[in-house]
Amino acid sequence: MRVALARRRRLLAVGLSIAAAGGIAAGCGSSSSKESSKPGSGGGGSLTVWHYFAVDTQTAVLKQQDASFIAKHPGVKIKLVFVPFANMNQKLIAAAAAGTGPDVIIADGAGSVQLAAAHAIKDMTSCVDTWSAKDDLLPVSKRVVDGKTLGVLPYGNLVALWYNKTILDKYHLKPPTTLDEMETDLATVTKGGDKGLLLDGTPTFTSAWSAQGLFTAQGVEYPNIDTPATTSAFQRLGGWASKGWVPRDVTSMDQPTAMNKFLTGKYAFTINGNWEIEHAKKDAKFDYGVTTLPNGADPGRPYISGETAMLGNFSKNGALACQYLNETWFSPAGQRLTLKGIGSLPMLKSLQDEPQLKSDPIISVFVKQASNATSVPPGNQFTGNSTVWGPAISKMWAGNDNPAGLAKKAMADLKGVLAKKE
Amino acid sequence: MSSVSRRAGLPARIVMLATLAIYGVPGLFMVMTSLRTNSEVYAKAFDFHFRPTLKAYQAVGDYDVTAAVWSSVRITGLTTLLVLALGVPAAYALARMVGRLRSVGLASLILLQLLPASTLVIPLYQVLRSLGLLGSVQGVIFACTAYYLPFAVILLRPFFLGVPVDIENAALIDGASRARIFWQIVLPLARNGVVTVGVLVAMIVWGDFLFALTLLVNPSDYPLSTLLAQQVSDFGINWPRLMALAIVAAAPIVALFLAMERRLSAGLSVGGVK
Amino acid sequence: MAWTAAVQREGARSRRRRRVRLPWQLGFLAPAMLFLAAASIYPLVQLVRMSLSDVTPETIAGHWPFVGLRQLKAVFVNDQFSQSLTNTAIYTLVVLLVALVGGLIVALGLSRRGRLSKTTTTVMLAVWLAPPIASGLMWKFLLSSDGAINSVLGQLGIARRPIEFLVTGRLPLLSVALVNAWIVVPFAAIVLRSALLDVPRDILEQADVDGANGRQRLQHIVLPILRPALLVLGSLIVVYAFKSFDFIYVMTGGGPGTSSSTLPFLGWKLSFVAYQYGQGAAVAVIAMIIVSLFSIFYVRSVKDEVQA
Repeated sequence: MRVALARRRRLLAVGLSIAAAGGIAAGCGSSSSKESSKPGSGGGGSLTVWHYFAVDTQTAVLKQQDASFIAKHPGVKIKLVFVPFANMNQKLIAAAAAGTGPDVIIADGAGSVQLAAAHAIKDMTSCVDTWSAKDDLLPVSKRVVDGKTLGVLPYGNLVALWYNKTILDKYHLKPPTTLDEMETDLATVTKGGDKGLLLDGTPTFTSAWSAQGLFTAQGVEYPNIDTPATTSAFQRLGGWASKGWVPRDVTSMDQPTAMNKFLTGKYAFTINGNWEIEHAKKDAKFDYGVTTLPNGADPGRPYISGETAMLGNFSKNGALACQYLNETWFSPAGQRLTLKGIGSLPMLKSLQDEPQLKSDPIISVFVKQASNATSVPPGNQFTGNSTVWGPAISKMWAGNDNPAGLAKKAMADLKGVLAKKE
Repeated sequence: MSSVSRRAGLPARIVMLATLAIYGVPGLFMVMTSLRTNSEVYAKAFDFHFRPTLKAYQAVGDYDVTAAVWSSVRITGLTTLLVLALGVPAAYALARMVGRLRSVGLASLILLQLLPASTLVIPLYQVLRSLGLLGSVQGVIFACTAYYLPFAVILLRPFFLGVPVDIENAALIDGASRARIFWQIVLPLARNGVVTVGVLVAMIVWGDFLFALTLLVNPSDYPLSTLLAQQVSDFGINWPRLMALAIVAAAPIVALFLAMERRLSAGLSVGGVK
Repeated sequence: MAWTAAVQREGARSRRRRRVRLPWQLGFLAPAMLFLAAASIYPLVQLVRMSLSDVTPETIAGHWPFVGLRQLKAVFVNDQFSQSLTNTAIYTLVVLLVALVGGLIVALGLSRRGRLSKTTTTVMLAVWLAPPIASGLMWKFLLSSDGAINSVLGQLGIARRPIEFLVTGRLPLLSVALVNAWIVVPFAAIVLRSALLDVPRDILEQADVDGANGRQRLQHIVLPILRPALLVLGSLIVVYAFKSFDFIYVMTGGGPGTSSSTLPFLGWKLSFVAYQYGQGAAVAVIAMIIVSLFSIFYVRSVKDEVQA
């Protein structure tokens, strides 16, 4: 596992740093030449796409992708079905149990092992082989489990450290690069009457997602948490909560709420994602910046994830669905749409040299952070993230319990979850 | 009309003002929030100095609100009718039963009421599929009817207890059939109760979103309540839009309630006491 | 022959017995019963079956392997279960008490007619009718440490430091229960007010002549008359609170950690987050068994009803 992750990281780093000269043009060309040779490209057909996009910038990108496909295939109808995030997997599995479901799913891919087990989605390996971008995809974009490609990420999302420059300047502080500096900064700003760090602390996997970098920096590598490092990390971070550096009610604060509160200008930091770039541009009334997560003895490494494109198992139009993904989300043009529209990182190697990725002071930080990001754990490990690790972190931020006790209990409970057959 | 606290002027007044504050202030907050912008709301939750904007309501207009209203009306109307058509005779029967059968009937109604909707979704999917109703508005109506029928019967039964048995017995002696007695004598006497429970069921179904959300696949079939659930995503809440949509969604049912209020309080008094 | 006569007699008797008419009530009950049998009982049976089987995403569409009571056992040893059970009891009790007492107070206050009474009723009902997700989210927003409620408390000097409504100890559970009760009070008030309007005025006036004070009037006249209404209302509220899920989901997500989780929430989490459908169903079945004990109480109280 560790080896695989490390390899993936290295590949990603390579992918993000190496620009394939002329790759963009080649990608475009091959895409359009292939499309005309495909059967049924000019004919009709309909696709149902399930998604949970509810933010304007995201739905706009979704609609642009579809419009570009319909423009090339006038007979095709695309039906977008919104399913709330919380109900998506439930609805997919219930639909599969009844022998039906959508053609394409753009949703959280962390449950893809379960979705595959329930026959809600199918192996995309042969589909991806027909894509013009098949050799151009960053390895981290594919969710491969037991040799099956369960889903492919059209873009990467990850967190880094956002800081309020106006507040830091007031105390003559620099954006922190280590946990020690971070603690000094937090102590200084909170002493001066400003507020500290915001991050998702809700009792599910999102709090594990947000705090992941703070744990890796202290040598905690989920799911191998049965180490003394976990206990000391819980004690250290639990101290942040008890000192008031992290407000205790982050336990009911999800990522977007944390961002919205950060944008009020009262908080010095938030650990938050690249998908908020446009939002921040629009609403921030103070100077802000983004820096990579603070390092400890080990580097602070976030998860890289994002929505995942999956193919429905009960699709009647499998070939068209595959073609849709090829020509929209995974085409260079489609990838640029998501970069421009939601600030999400492209997953094609050939696009890693896009001017925006380097010149934009904020996106470039996320690109840098991506070079040491890790994939979200699959299957039971993910379930453990939602049911044990996330709730334990949430309790840690609440500060009602002894951090060492929480760590110990999390270690024991996680063993039970990981022992279950998948 | 008599009144208990007619003379208790001051305490009643205090209670009313307190109630008005406890419900009015959050209500005002909802309305105010719907007239602001999202970043303003986060910057200062409660603020009377703001420039009202109708942007949120315009954004609501971007959705296909007419289709959603039509879907809500269909789901609410037909579910209510079905619940009443099945529930009214059943409640009457249970009101005229004694002994073990009644106990079993009532206990099972309570039990059926208990099923959490989320656990029902998977079996319901299978039932609806075998009926060919999956993904259709009819399927949602079927599920909602099943879910709210026990509730309606429990609420309806007391209204029929309030109808004197003597009248029915007299009619029986005159040779009237049970069906005729029910239709011509009992039902008119329990009319208020039926209307009351009908309005209550309609209100609850109007706000229900779980069944529509999980059982429908065509977004143009989504009712208003589901559009509302759509505002809450993993990528944030747009407060003004959420509140604007909540107000738009609640408005028709509030209007229905106000129109029915007089009959409703009369009806509830029978149901509550007897 | 004797035995043929006996057989004939027996036959005649059974024919006669068969001719005994079913109670007419069944005819009225039948449509609802048949519908519920198809639409509710079948899912219920499936739920029970699920609680006795090892249902995971893999097996959900096909054969469910029977494992007997293993899922129930697994649920019982789960320490989240006992926590959720306690929480459910507290939650239900708080909602019930606050909704009944609050409903009664509001009903008494509103039984005076007038413009203020009408305005209050209308506002209260309009807020009640706002979709639960919207009001739950709004309260979460208002209750946060830098939310409106804490800033009001701070400005009034009631709380020097913000109260962490959704974080500390049992406060999250109690806060959600109170918000839930806030939603139920208008319904309870309307039901009880209508019942109050039927309290005959002459009885009250007689009580006044006899020198009864407010408390005595309430205790000896009003409450006995309201008893049936309170019973129906109380049982509906208990069932409603016992299966309440939306507010916990929206406001705390069962947290911090698992500290405000209730049985319906745990069942949902086991099914749709941990993908242990069998265990999720087992929690639902256990919850049903508990409330069926309560329904015995309800049926008993219905037995005491004076038949009209």
